[in-house]
Amino acid sequence: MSGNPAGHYSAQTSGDNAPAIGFVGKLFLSVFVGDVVEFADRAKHWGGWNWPPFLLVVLLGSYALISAPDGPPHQFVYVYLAIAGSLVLALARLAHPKSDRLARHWRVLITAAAVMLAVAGTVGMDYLSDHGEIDVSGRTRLTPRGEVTKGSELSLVVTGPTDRAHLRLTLTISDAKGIEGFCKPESHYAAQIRDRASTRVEKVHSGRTVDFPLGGLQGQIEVQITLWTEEGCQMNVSVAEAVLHD
Amino acid sequence: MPATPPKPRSSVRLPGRIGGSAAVLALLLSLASCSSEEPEPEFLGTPRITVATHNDLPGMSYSENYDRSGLDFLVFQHVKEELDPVPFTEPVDVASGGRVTQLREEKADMVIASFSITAERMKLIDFVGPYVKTRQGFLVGPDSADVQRLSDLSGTRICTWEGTTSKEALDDIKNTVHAEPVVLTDASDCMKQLLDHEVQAVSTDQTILYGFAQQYEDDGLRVVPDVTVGVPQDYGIGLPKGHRKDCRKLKDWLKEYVGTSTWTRDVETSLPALTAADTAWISKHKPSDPEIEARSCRDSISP
Repeated sequence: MSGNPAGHYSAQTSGDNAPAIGFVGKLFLSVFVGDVVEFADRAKHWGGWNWPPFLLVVLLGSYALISAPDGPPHQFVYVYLAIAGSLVLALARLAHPKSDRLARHWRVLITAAAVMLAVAGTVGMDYLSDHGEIDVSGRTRLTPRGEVTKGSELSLVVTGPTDRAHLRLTLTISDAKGIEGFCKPESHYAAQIRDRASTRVEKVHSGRTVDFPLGGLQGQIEVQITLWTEEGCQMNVSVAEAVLHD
Repeated sequence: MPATPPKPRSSVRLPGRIGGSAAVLALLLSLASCSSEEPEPEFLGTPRITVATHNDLPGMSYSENYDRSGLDFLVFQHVKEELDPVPFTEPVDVASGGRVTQLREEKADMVIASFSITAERMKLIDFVGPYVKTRQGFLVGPDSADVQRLSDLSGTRICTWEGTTSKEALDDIKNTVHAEPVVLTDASDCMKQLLDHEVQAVSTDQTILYGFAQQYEDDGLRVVPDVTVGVPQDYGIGLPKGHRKDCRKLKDWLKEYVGTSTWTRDVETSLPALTAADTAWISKHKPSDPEIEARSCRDSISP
């Protein structure tokens, strides 16, 4: 048998310029739909059992992504890795349904791993919704504003619900006037949750992080801060980070 | 033309050959001796260090008839001993306003001149310090015997000079104390005005004021005790940027120096009026190791 029979993908033309139109048509199909057609051809051979795990992985992954809470990005790394891994494995399994290079038990194992990773990602995201870190830096209010001096007492209020058991706090102390000299290296503060002396921390320098147990505190959190700096120094205090966590 | 017979090797040439070999040997030996010589000692990338210092601050950096004295001068002497055998030139004089410029324009390699470490200056030059801490105070004349508190200076004219950090603190108290700051060219101008009763007080670092009080003891000048304004001042040794290894070497030496009795003796010798006025002067003026670490060889404030 010689030549290629015209299949239902071949272009049919007639007339004076028929050969040219036929060539362009084939080129068009090759460029724009050729690969899709080839892919669909292979899909005919895909095993029916590969689809349910793939769809399950997509479903679980989508749910996890939709239900993602707010919070510092670093805590989501493992969850996103699990979801991405499950999708890659599920797609690989779908694209090579009967690969000769893979033994049957390996194919089953890949499918199982894809589903397990998707489940882990979904459970992980669910856990983060309940126990993950919540960045509350934007919900803080520090008073008095402006320059503070030795012995100044400040109040930091975190508004909104106290959904976690701890508050992690980082304050920045900086010199209000840098021209004359500076006091930042020696400046530090003491802090505690209002009316809870057991939470008191002493000699915390700028940029250091402290952790306050909230012990079932409901509503807003108030942290009392006392600044220590050299006599004559005028300082600015600001919140670098405030995070609620379990 | 008959062929010229080859000249017999003459024994006359032998001394010449020996001489040539000897010359080559001598050259090789001299090269070898050159390569084994110690390299010239260098510090801050220069074989000879020029230190800039003041000459008009008694007790700190003072020069009279080519005879220098003061705490800055003693620190300079110790630095010189520490860096031996690196040679130093005779110290050159610098005005307060020219200290950063002298380093940046390479007119001096080191500045030891009651030089306050500030965040702005740290961006331009490196510091090793502090070697002494102080605060901005007030020097008054005999007609201001009643001045005990800052508020007692209300309505007065207070002098300071250009190129120092003292002006900013005086501007800050202008509205609260209602005193008029007068900024002149240098320290001697302010002292003249104080002695001439044209200003009622001179305000700058207490270390400098105690030096003047000592020098003008007969004129009845005194430092107002326990009255200070502005942030603490930390005196450091100024170095040009780009020599961090040498800077750290000097920092390590400084930490050792301020921990010895030599430092205490140097302050007592240079500023007897300061040490006599306050028995707790060491706790106020002696820097700690963390303070030196936080300010030395950096581009910005630590942490």
